[in-house]
Amino acid sequence: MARRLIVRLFQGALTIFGVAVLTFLLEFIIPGNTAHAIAPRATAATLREITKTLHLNAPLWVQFGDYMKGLLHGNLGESYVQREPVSTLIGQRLPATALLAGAGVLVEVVVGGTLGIAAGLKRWMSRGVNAISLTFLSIPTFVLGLFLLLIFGFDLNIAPVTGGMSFGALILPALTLGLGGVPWYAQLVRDQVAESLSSSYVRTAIAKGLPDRWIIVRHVLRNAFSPALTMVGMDLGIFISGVVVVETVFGWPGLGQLAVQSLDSLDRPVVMGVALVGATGVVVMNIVVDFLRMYVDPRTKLATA
Amino acid sequence: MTLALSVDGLSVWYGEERAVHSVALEVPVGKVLALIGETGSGKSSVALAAARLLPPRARMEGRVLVAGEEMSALSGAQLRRLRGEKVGFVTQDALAGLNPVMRVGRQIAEVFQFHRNLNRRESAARAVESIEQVRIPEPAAVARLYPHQLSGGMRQRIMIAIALALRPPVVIADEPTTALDVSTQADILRLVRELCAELGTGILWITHDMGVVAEVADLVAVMYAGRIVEHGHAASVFDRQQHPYTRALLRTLHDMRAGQPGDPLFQIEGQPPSLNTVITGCPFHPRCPMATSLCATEEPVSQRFGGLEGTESGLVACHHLGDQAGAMT
Amino acid sequence: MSKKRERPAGRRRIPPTLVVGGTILVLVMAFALAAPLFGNPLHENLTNGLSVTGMPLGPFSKGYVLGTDTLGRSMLSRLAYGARTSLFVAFVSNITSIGVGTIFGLVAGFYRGFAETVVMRFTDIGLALPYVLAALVLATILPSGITRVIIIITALFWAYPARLVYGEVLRLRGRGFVEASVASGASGRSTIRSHLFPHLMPMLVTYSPLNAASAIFFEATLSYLGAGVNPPTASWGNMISDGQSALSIAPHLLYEPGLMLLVTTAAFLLVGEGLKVLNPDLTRLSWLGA
Ligand SMILES: Nc1ncnc2c1ncn2[C@@H]1O[C@H](COP(=O)(O)OP(=O)(O)OP(=O)(O)O)[C@@H](O)[C@H]1O
Ligand SMILES: [Mg+2]
Repeated sequence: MARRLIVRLFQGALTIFGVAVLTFLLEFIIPGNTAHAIAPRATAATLREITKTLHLNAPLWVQFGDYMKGLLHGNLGESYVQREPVSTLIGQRLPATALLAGAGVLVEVVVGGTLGIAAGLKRWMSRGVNAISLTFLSIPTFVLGLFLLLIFGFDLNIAPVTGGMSFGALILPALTLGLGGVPWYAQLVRDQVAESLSSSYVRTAIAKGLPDRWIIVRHVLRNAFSPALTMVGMDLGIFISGVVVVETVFGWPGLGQLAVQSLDSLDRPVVMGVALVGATGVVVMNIVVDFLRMYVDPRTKLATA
Repeated sequence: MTLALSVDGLSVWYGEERAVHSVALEVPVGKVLALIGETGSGKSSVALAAARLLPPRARMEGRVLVAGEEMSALSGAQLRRLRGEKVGFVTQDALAGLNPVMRVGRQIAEVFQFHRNLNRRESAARAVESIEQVRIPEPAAVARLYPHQLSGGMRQRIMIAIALALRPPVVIADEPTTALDVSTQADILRLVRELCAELGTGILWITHDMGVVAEVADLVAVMYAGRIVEHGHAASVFDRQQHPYTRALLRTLHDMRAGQPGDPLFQIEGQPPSLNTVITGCPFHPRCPMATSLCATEEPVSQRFGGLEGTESGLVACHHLGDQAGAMT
Repeated sequence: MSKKRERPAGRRRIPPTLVVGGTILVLVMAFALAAPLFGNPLHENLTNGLSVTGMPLGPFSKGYVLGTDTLGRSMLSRLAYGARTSLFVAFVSNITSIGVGTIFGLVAGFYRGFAETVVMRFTDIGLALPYVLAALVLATILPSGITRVIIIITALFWAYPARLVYGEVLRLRGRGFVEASVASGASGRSTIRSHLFPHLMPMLVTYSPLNAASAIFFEATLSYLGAGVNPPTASWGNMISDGQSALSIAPHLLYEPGLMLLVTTAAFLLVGEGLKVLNPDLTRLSWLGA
């Protein structure tokens, strides 16, 4: 178990390093003149000044060394626009994003899981889930978000439309974020439940004379849980993308909104910093999910030991 | 002779196809009845129907009496009470038959929890006792393991422990040893014999393997095309071989003992009829060496032989009973 | 002894999902082709295209069947040009992303060894990336326009087909395809071209509508975020973004492009499902979204 943790941490660190290299390369090689990006309308003299203070004409490996050293100290560079460390900006936004993401996963798992269980148990529900799945799979997150905003915010007037952070303001974004993942969870859980219901161990449970509720909760659902958890880990990349979009739609003051706003002002270090933090988040969450899965499904422990 | 299990007029349909035709069986208290027959003859269907475990799309008819109590008419809570309490069930593949994500101790304990209203701790203690009863060393440690951490033989013992947990008068076992290697098979057979005698459990034991039959069975029932063609004491069935199909089956056993390991188990000329063929007369007549025109037109009824009771008695469904009694080729 | 009723291979019925999805796609394509018939998508009619209070006209207004946007431009015309954008992006990025993925997958699966390790590591990273964030990063360094969208989609979408192709090549290897060909003296390239590639085609064809659906999705999302096709070029995504400020007064600015997106994506997904039914051993391809 400890060995596995070390291996996974090492792999994770390697992935994050890879992403860091990529961001560095993008930032320092492809774009051409960074000084110009910082101050598009500056005079030639100012540009020279900027270049000098930021060591922009130092050799590539020196810049890379600086960049990596900075990263290790949690230094993600400085915002071109706000003149503040990127890490500070990110730190301010992180709690909001974490809250939204947590609420979104909750919606996703609860709604998707419930629909999936119902569809696995009842045949006619299964057709309903297919239709719902196709619909939700065909609506981009931002359209769904605006749609919910229009209906619940403007027409029914029961949800705030102004953005910002509050419990009431969390409901629609969390719903939007979660509903996007519902089709996958519903289908996965449905298939798992159906498979489990026709399994030999459920027949054993019936032969024991256990009531249906007991069998479904303790035998069927426990077996469907582990694949669902695997999926949580697998689609984190997609999920984080959803967070960015939803924050923009609802004006939720998180990392995604920060990244999109920074894109508008071409504030590259901030966009890259958020991307790096996002990738790190995915890697870390994957490790967490991996270990949770070992706890839920004892077989995985053996398979990879 | 008190009966642990008695089945009468049992028929099973899967959709429109009839897999079991009016089967009658009797398992006395403390005895083992082996149900044998080729693949597809309907053995599992009988077992599942007797345990009321048929899949939803199957339909059954007939009477199932467990320790004198009628089980075939029950449903809902009453049926649940009888399951586990009166009938234990053991599957062929214990790895698939046990929940992979639950400790085996819990899987036994939940039986006590539900049927005996015990709390978690008490039922866990009873589960350990059950594991001990099936002769597993260090039962408390084994209770904390998951199915995939056990050997095949241990898993099958756990299945048996689940089936026997509440000391039911009847255990129905569908090919419980087929997935095991030979020496483990022998251990399990011995265990079942001992427990059966100890607890007075009647066992309906389904198998392909005539060797197993010779080891454990007090009684034998031979199935062909969804019908019981011969039913009697093991000794008399083996010695007399009244039905031509039984004779053919036993001959394959004889050949196998003499022949090479790995030879196919049953090799009787021709194929058993599929479920949707209309059968007239005796179902075995197309493959029977003794078939006459009577066999092709009229289905034989079961006739008693060797008196009403005692180890020499039995039932056979054949028109040519006595024509060749004792004849061995 | 279960008897499955099998139809003879030649007379398989065309699945209804394929028929429905295909029909819708043809209609959307016709709409896109007919775009010039619906007027100029850039014409800002500030006198007759807006209400007296300066608000967008709703559907069924005089001269504008589907209404106008905040600048008094014809929604019908913009939707049609938006369809061009979506379908163009879907078509081109489908070829590029699946093409790149196929090459990487083939190289990794065929040459094995070091190439395999490197390519598959990159594929893993590519699959784990937070797509939208990565796209935003790329958007900061590329000039805006439809080419940018295609480059971003290609850069992010190649990993999944690469994984598919890689797995398939390994499977084919396992069945002795490669060894047999190499043993008979064929070069690596001709082995790939004449022995592996034909066997990959059904899978790639089945995968492509799913990929296209994801691409359309992604283009709309990027354009909505300002990282894709920028105004005044019409894209369903930036139309929604433009209309967002007037949403409560002119909800058709959301509904119309939203509906187009939904219908088009659903059509691609239906086609994908239909193709899966035709290739039963490909059911492992999942609906992939961005
Ligand atoms: N769930 C089912 N649905 C449809 N037909 C079934 C089902 N289960 C069994 N059958 C059919 O019923 C007949 C009897 O099957 P059964 O499993 O009872 O035979 P068996 O004697 O146990 O065979 P085996 O030795 O292979 O286990 C077979 O023809 C089989 O195809
Ligand atoms: Mg069977």
